[in-house]
Amino acid sequence: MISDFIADPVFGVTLTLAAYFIGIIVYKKTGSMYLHPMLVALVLIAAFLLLTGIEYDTYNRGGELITFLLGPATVALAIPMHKHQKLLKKNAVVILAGTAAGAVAGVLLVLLLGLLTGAGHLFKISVISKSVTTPIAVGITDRLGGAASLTVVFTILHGLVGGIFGPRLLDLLRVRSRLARGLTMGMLSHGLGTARALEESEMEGALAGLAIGLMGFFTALAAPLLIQLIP
Amino acid sequence: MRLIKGLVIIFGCLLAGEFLAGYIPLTLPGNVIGMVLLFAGLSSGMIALEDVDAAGELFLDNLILLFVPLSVGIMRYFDLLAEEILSVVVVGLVGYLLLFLFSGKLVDLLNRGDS
Repeated sequence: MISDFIADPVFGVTLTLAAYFIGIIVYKKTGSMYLHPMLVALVLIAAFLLLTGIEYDTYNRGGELITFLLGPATVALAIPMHKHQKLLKKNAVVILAGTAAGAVAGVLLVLLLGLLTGAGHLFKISVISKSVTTPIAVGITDRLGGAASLTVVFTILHGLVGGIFGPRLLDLLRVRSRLARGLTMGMLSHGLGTARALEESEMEGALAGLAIGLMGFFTALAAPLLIQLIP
Repeated sequence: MRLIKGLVIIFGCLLAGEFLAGYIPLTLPGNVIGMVLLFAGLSSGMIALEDVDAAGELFLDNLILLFVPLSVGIMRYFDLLAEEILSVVVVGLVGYLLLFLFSGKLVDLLNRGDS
């Protein structure tokens, strides 16, 4: 009876929405970047499942209905890119060369550092796209046969670190131009970096937004090829 | 009406992307191909921005919600993370800082050369 009720996808969907709702409230009330709504929702749901002994797979009957929407969400990323097309055309060389090199460097760093620390194959292919915006990163991981759950948590943490410390790191590196700052924030910390870049200036936010889509595209191209070279 | 039209376009791009993913020689995920198709459609004027704007906002305004169920799946990987703790720290944190250093400096240099 109660198990039938929990096995209904409505259970997973409702639990996700409720936990995320609480996450947003906590985030707004505290104003702390560390209490990101996704992390709060993750902790709440995981704690609930562990306490009640409900399996992840049971919860995920509803959860996967929400995950499914990441597909169209990725397609929709083309819309903000299109809106900033003028900026892209004006600075095409810097933006294209920068994001392409950044994407290759990001993949290589995971593979080489992973080789150094003896990381397992599953771990490497799951975090190879961690600098990329989460919906695209999940697509890349699925294509490579990795664990999308690891991808999601690593990409969000990446985004958080950049969102919080990114501008300070850029100051340390003496990167001062708006173009370079905006691009770097988007390349390294995707959506969360973009939100922070937007706080600095609208142009930096737009550049970060462009960098997100391009970084995702180039990483999707580079990751499967490079992983064959450095197993 | 416009929202539905936008959803048809977005899902149409996704479907076409998923289909093409099996045929093109690159290992691009179908959703990324769908993104490229929508971008090409918008840039060429074949798709009007007003048609997809509202539907796009529906997904992008609440994007973080869509990651929540996958993120909860991390609870199945606690053992793996404990085993790979060295890689988690080095690949995660050191990798991040190195990539930041590389990207920030590179884009800055490219930008100076360009202007």
